[in-house]
Amino acid sequence: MSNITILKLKDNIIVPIQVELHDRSAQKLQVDILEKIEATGAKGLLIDISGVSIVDSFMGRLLGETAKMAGLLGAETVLVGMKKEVVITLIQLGMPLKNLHTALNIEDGLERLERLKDSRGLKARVAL
Amino acid sequence: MEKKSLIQVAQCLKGKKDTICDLWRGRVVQEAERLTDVFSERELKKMVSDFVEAVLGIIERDAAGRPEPDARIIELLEHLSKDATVNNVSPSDTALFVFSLKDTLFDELQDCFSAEVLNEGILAISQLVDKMGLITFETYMRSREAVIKEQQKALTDASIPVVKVWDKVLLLPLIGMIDSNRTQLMLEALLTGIEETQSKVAILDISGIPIVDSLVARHLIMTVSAARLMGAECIITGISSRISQTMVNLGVDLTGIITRGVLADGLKLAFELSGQRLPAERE
Amino acid sequence: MTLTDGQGNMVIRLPIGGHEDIVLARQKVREIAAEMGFNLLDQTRIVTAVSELARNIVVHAQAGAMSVFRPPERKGLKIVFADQGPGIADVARAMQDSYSSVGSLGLGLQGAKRLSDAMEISSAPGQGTTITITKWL
Repeated sequence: MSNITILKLKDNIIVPIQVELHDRSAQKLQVDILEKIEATGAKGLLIDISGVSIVDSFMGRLLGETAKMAGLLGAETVLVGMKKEVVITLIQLGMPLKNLHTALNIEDGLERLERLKDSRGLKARVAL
Repeated sequence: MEKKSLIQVAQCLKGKKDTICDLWRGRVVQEAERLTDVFSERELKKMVSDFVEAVLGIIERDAAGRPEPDARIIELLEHLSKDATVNNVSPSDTALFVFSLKDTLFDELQDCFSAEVLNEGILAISQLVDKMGLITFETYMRSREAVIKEQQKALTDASIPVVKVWDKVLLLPLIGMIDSNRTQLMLEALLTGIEETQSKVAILDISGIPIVDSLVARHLIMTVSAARLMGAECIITGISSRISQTMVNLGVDLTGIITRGVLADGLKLAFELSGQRLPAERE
Repeated sequence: MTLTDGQGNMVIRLPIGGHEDIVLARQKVREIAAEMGFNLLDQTRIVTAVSELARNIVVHAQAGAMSVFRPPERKGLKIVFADQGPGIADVARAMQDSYSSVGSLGLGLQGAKRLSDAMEISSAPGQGTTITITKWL
C-alpha cells in the first residue's frame, strides 16, 4: 500500500492520486482525508485523479461517498483530471457520478472550490 | 506429380520463354482489352516477362508434389490486382490475363512432348494457373473492401469536426444521423478535444441533425454527462422549434442540460461560463 | 502456458480469493491486453470489467478463479470467472439490481456486460457461478 500525500493549501485539502488505488488503500485514503479535514477545519477538498487509469464501480462509489462525508464535515469537494478512457468507461458502467463536482485540472478545480464555498455560504444565509 | 516430367516441362518451356511471352501478350491484347487501355505496351511487356519467369521458376523449383503459387508470384498477382482495381479494370479481365497464360503454355508444350508427359504437364500447369486466377479475385475483393473502409472512415471522421472557436471553448457542429457508432466517435473526439485544449465549455450544435428522437437525445445526454465528468460543461444549440416540440411530445427529459436555440447565444453563454469576456465588453 | 480446451489457448489462470487477487488480476489482464494490441480505451474497459467480476467473487463467493483465453476463431480475449459460491437464483433479476444497494452484484454484472462485447452466465443456487466475457480486437 502506498502512502498518498495529502496537501494543505489555505483552507483546502489537495489529494493527488498518482497510482492505481486498490480496495484497501482506497478505504484507508478515505479515512485519512476525513481525519485531515476534521483536524484542519478545511472547507475544500480537491481530489486529483489524473494519475488513475482504472476507476471501477467500487472506486466510483468510494469517491462519491467521500464527497458526501466531506460535505457533512463542512467541506466542498471537486474531482479533477479524470482521463477520457476512465470517463467513457464510467459512463458505460452506468456511473455518471452526477453529484460530484468536477474540473479539468487543479487550477480550475481550486477556482471551482472557491465558487462552491461562496454559494454554500449564500445558501446558508438565505436559509436563515 | 512425377518429378521427372515436371523438370522436362520446365526445361521445354524455358527454352521457349521469349515465344511464350510474345504469344501471351498477343492473347492478352486480344482478350483483355481493358488492360491494354490501362497499361502501356512497355509495362505489359515487363509484366508478362516477370510473370513467365516466376511461373517457370515455380515449375522448376517444385521438387515434390504440385507446383504451388509462391511469395514472388503472389506479390506479382497482388500488384496486378491492385493496379487493376485502382484503374477500374474488372476482376474478370484481370483473371483473363492470368488464364490466357494457360493456353499459351499448353500450345507450346505440345511441341515438346508425347501425350503422356503432356497430360501430366497440363494438369500441373492447369492447377497452378487456376490458383493464380483465384488469388487475383481474392486480392481484388480485399482491395475493394479496404478502399470502402477507408472511404467510410474518412466520411465519419470528417463529419465530427471539433473546432476550437475561442480559448477554452470548443464547437462541435454535428451533422447527419447520430447512431450509437457515431456517438462513440463523437464522444471520443469531444473528450480528446477537451483534454488537448483544456476547454471548459463545449458547444454541441445539432442544427445539422435531421432527426432528433429519444434515442438521439439519450446519446446527447450521455455525451454531456461524459464532458461533465471530465470537468467541462456542454451547451446544446441549434434546436429548432420543430425539434423542441418533438422532444417535449416524446417526453425527452433534458433537465440539467443547458440549451440555446441559436449558436450565437450559445457562444455568448460559453464565454460567460468559461470566465471570459468578449473583446467588445472588455472596455 | 498453452493448454487448449473449448475456449482456445489459455494464457493464464489466477485463483481469486482476497482483495489482493483483484489487483493481480487487473495487472495481468492489462499486460495481456496491451500486448495483444488493444487500444487504451478497450484496455480500460476490459480491466474495469475484470475488476468488477473479480470483486464479485471475493465479496460473494470467497474463492474462485479467473482464466484468460485467446479464442481460435477470432483475435480477442475470453475471460472466464468461475466460483463455487452460493450461485445466482435469478440471473435476469441480478442483472437489473440497482447499484445503490450496497454490496449488490447488480452493477458489477451489468457493468461488466456493457463493457464487453459479449457475456455468458451460467449459475444456479448451490452450484456456483461461471461468467465468461469476450472482447474482440
